[in-house]
Amino acid sequence: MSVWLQRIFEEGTFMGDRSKASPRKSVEQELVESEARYRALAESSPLAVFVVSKGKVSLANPACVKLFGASSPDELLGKSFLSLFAPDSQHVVRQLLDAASGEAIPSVDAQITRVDLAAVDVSITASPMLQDGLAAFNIVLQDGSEAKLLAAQAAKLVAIVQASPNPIFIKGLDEVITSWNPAAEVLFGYTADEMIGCSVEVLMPPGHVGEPLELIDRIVAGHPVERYEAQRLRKDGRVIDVALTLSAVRDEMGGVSAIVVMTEDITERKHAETEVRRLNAELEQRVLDRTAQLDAANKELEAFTYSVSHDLRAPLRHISGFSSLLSERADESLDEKSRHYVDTIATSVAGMGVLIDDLLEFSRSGRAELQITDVDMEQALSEALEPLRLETADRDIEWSVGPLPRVVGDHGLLRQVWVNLVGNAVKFSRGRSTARIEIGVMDRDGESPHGAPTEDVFYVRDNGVGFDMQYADKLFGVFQRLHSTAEFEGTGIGLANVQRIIHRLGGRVWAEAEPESGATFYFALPRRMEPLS
Amino acid sequence: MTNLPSILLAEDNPNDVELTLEALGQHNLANRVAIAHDGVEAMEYLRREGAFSDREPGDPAVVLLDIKMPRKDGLQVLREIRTDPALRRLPVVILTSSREEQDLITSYDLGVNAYVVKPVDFPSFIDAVKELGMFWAVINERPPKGVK
Repeated sequence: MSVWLQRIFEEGTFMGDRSKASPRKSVEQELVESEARYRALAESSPLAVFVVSKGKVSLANPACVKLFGASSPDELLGKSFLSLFAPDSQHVVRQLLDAASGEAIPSVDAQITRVDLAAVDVSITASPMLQDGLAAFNIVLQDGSEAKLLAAQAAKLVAIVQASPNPIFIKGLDEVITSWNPAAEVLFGYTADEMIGCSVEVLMPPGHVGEPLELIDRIVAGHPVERYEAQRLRKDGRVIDVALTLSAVRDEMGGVSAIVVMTEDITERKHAETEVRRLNAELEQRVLDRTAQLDAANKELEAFTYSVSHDLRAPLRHISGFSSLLSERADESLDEKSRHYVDTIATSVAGMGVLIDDLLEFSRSGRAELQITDVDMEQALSEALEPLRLETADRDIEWSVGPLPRVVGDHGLLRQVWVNLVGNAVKFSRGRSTARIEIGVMDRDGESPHGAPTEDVFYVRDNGVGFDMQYADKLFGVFQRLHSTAEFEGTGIGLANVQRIIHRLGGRVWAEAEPESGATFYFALPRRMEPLS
Repeated sequence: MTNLPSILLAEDNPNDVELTLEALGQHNLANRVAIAHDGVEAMEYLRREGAFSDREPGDPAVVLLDIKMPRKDGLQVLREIRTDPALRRLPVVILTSSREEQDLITSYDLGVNAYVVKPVDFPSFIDAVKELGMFWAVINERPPKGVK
């Protein structure tokens, strides 16, 4: 009998503690209780356990039954213990048991033969024991394939982490670093040897104390930390901008045992962001400067217009006034020629007055701020027609005014457009015994590919003198006239004004005509869902 | 009826003064016109200060006010009249070359009684000034005196 077994006999069972046993209980009684405890333990063990007594299996726990692919312990009980192992393994198992008889209790790798004859790698641990008072072996089998798989997976993970271009380290809840990959070495300048066992505090730039603990609180509370932007200190003293992604390593109980920290160097991106912000600010400043310059230029223009309206009109008024007073005073003494001179002065002054007014109107339509609203075109037109109808009360004009849609635009400016276009129609149809002026909107013109019209096209048609289309490009220019002043009065500003207004409203304007057959002027305004801001 | 001028014409341009007087003369109103050559003179006249400290007391029936004048412009004169407790009800008519929207807005905001743009064409100018003179100096009822 081995020394070990002798000791068991002298001291009682290795499973029980003799000093705590009741002195009234016999050794036999204690053995029975001890065996019951052992059985209970073995039954609930996740490891495969069986007992070998006299070379045969005398006990097999559920994990063991499962490992061998048996349906119940009975399939294993009573079997020759060696027959459970693959022929190649039987030799080492026998050696193991021999060794286990002594002091050493080593563990060996072997192959078992399952009930379905499949071979499974296991690692075996054997320890001597007593069963029913007889020497026996307690054999523990650990599924080697599982262990190998786990080890292989772990090795793979380690390889991935080591090879990752992303700096990754693992730290405990106490902030002490337990793992440090090569990318982290590159990023922070510290080697794994330097950092493992060190607190992450080393990486904190001055003033960042407390931040890592706050992040750990978030992780432990179950909130993910993704791309948390912070600053870290390199070994060389340089502060870098980083984005941290933290994930928890949890134990079987679900508690956080460690934290994996993935660090992304965003220093360059931060730098670029700062640069973009700086450029934006610069651009904004430049826009402000330009706007200020434009405002100043506009103010100047306004001041100029103001003095034109005031300062040019005053001398005109004086010329008109004094020439008129002269003609009154010298009434009788003026010969026909002198009277003609005085009259010409009056006519020219009146013409220049109109010219100044038109120019002012033109300048105003260009610089006045647009008052964009929903405009009732019929209303705008009727406001324009009212004075024209009064002026032409003595003429025979057939008016044809169709229903007009509402548009989005500037009411005052659109009224001005009607004034100019209808005014022209009235003027250039003056020679007709019956003038016909037609105002309306084109039927479904300017259709989009989807069928819905994208603009409304308005027109003013007259049966007046018309014009030669080869001069059509001159129509809308400032001071451009296609008729002599003697024929038709005017300054050549009206249509330029129309074009400017329609362009400002995002529309277009054109004309069709034939000499002596009349002219049609069109303007198109885009349809908008919303008024312009 | 008093000899007191019924119209104060504040106008810096002598040509305009002459033409305005000519127009008013056609209705026999010319001899009832006092002239101020700028805004400062206009306020001195109304407050009987400076060169006008010796004038007979009493307010004109109307002030015809040009806007663009040296030293103190018409809008400033209007503002001072409207904030002076003794003058605030005085009828004031802006008579100007300016049709600028901003001038119109400011004038009406300050409580002007009428705003007339001087027509360039003389016959129209004569008509406008004659009618203004007739209306404000003859037809219109003046604000009561001595009521605060």
